[in-house]
Amino acid sequence: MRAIAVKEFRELRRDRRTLAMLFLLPFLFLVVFGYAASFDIQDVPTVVVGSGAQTIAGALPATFDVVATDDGEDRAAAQDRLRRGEAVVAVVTPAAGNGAATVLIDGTELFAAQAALRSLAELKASAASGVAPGGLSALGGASSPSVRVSVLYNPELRTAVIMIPGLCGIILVFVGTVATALGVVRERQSGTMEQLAVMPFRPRDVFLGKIAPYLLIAALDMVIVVVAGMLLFDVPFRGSVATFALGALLFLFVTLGTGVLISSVSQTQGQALQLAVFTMVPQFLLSGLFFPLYSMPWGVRWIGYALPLTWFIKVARGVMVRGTPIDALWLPLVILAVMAVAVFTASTLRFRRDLAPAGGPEGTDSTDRPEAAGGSADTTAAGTVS
Amino acid sequence: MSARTAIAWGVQDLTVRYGARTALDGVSLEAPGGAVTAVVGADGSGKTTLLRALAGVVRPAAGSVRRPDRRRIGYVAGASGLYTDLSVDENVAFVAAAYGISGPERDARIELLLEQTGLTGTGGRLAGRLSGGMRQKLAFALAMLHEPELLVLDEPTTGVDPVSSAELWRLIAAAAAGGAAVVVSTTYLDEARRAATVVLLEDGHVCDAAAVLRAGDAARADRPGDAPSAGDHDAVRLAVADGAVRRFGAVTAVAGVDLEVRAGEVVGLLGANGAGKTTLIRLLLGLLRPTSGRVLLFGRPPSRATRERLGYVPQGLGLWQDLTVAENLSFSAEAFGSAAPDLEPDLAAASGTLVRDLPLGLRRRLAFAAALAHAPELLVLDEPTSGVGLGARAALWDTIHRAAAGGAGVLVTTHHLDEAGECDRLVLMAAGRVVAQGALVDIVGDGAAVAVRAERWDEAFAVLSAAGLPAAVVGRDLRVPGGDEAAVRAALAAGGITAALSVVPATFEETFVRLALARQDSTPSDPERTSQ
Repeated sequence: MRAIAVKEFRELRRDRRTLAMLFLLPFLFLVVFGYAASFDIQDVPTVVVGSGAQTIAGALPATFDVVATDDGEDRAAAQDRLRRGEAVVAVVTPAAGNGAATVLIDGTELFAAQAALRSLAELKASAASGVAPGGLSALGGASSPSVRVSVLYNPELRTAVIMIPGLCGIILVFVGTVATALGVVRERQSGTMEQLAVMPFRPRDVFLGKIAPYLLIAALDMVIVVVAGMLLFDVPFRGSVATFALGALLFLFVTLGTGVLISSVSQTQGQALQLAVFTMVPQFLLSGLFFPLYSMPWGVRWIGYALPLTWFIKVARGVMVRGTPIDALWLPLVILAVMAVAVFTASTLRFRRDLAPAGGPEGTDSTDRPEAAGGSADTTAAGTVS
Repeated sequence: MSARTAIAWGVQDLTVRYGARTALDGVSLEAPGGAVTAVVGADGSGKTTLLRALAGVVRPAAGSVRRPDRRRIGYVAGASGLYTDLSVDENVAFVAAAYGISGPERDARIELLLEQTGLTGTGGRLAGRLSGGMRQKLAFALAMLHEPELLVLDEPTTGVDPVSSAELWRLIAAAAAGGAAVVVSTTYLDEARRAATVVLLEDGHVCDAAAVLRAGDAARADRPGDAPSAGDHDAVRLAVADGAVRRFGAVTAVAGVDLEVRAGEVVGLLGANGAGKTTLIRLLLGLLRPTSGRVLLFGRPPSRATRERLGYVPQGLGLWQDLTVAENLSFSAEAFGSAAPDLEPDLAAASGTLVRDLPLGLRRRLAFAAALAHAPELLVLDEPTSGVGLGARAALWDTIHRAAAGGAGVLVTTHHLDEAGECDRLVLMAAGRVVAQGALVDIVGDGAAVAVRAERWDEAFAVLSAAGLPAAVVGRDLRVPGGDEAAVRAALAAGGITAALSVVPATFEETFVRLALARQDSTPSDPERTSQ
């Protein structure tokens, strides 16, 4: 027993990938669930418009993080701000001190909307018992019914409405990164990559031919999910299909490129899968898919901003549920485009080098070993025997 | 030693089934102590199952197995059973602990075995970083660590270069000389000649080994001598390496090789693992670029255009396992812009079968068909016959000769030294250089060996080994390469052994091993050998 345990520890010490997974994943989960994953949302982005906006803004509870105030805007302008994703809550003060204030809440931010509703309910309760802070009288005085709260885009706060757009992102990550990486590594592992290299193909042909099927499958998968979401779960599609498709395409290039990069540093499908999981876990947890980024501490939030899925989710949810116009989405689209170009270029260069075409550029390269071909043939042979 | 004649391990009327498939059907084998028993067969013939049953790893459906206690068996599985992420020392430590060997006895035993296997000083290296031959020798050392009575080795020499393979067979003979019963499986029929008894397996049945050995010799004799025609030297030079050098970081894999392949000739490229064969092939294919020197294909540097005129069958066959036979062929036909080839009947019958479900022999013929479909002018074959049964091997060589007769140049690597005779010209590599090239007879030249027939081969073997004259065992005879009869006679006399000695022509294998080792031991080149 002891001999086997000692052997196992020694082997683990050498298997750096598994070791990394064993020690980094708990750390990652600790960070995510300790700092990032919080149903107790703080700092909900809020705009306050209408006369008396300044006063109201100053008097709102801490839950609301006032990002803008404007005396001149009306309800329509406030709603447009929500549509464009500038804020989650908009407070529209009543004109000339009479009538009721309106609070608009963006239902696509599920947890934030719930937190805002909770906070407003507390406010009403305290107002009813007469301990409301003075400034809040403008919100409708002591009489609670005079505050009209309306939840936009997802009035019933259904989870499906916000999860389906996010699911599109996950599918693109899965097909793009995992399936592509496995497909390319399979080619290398079975020794047929070398066969492709000696056939009269250009490296470009091999690269594009290799990833085109995954691109098509991912696109098809996504259409299925969107249509199924609309038919089965009544998810709206309010915005432009073209904007959505552009975001999806850019994001797909990032995930495909990541898949090719993973494949180029993996010898076996097992290693590729391990690495792919490693890139997927943080994307799922820190992209704002479940927990909004603005309520995370800064350090964790920046990790989220560095992840492509974060930006795709902004585009997908905005376009599908709120009908956000393309000009309000320029930032996520530009970021996705930059990421796509960077990752895709890196993966093309890497792939070219791995394919080692005689005509292509080639530097002194310490990673390809003379034994590499023999080694991979050995694995194939062993695979066939078992 | 007295136990040697009394105990014979083995199996009797053994049947093993995996589900509905019968892997072994009424097989008997006797493995007496102090002798080597060889189990020969192609891939899938049931060798591994027989050895696993003998080692007690599979449960037989019928029949009996006679084997010593588990602690007295040494078993090396085909995949060599080493932990590749552990160092040599750690592998040894694990096995020693597993068998409860400890104290000074352990250290002495380990030191002796590492020395015998030539692994002294490799203790800190990861097993996964060792060459194929060294890995097999380490696996052998591990299996011998607890001095087993029965040593079971599954294909120890498959994929191992001829030099390491000769060393392994010497170790195997030494184990038998020490009294152990040794059972070795192999796909190489010629290796079986080294064993005292041979069991030939085909589809789970035992065949008449002696008859097949005779048939093999006859077939070889029948083959028309591939005498190169006089006009060969004027034939088109298809592939040329001109002082080709390829370095990987600090390692020089190919150190200035001159080589050419002409139209219509079969050139055999032979060498130990790490000799630079694979790198040279990759240079010629255009998969690597030479660090210095030149490589020309059809008179030009390799490019996309040259690839259209090239057929390549890699060691792993380069087929797509999840495509059918027909899909594989149509893919490569489309890649080369050629028509799909006419298939042999049994391949055509399997055209809808996935390659992964195809028997290995058919798979190999499919790889050949795919590589030949576009009528390449140069055919490059990397270990085309490894793991192939005797009959299938002859068929593959027929295909190769037909391609050459049709005007193609063929460059083929092999570990089967007995296949050297199939080639018009041989190129022997060691340590990145060409150590000899030319026709088989020219390379062997007048090299000699001393054949020793002693009353007790094991005692003679031990005496010669102790005298630094490593001998190879062929059945119950010994051969000492080199032909220094006086030294052999003196050593045997000093050991008090009477034996009949005769000086015989060296085999190609002995010549090969001598040349390869000479290169490894000394760096200066041998210009007489390298030039034609």
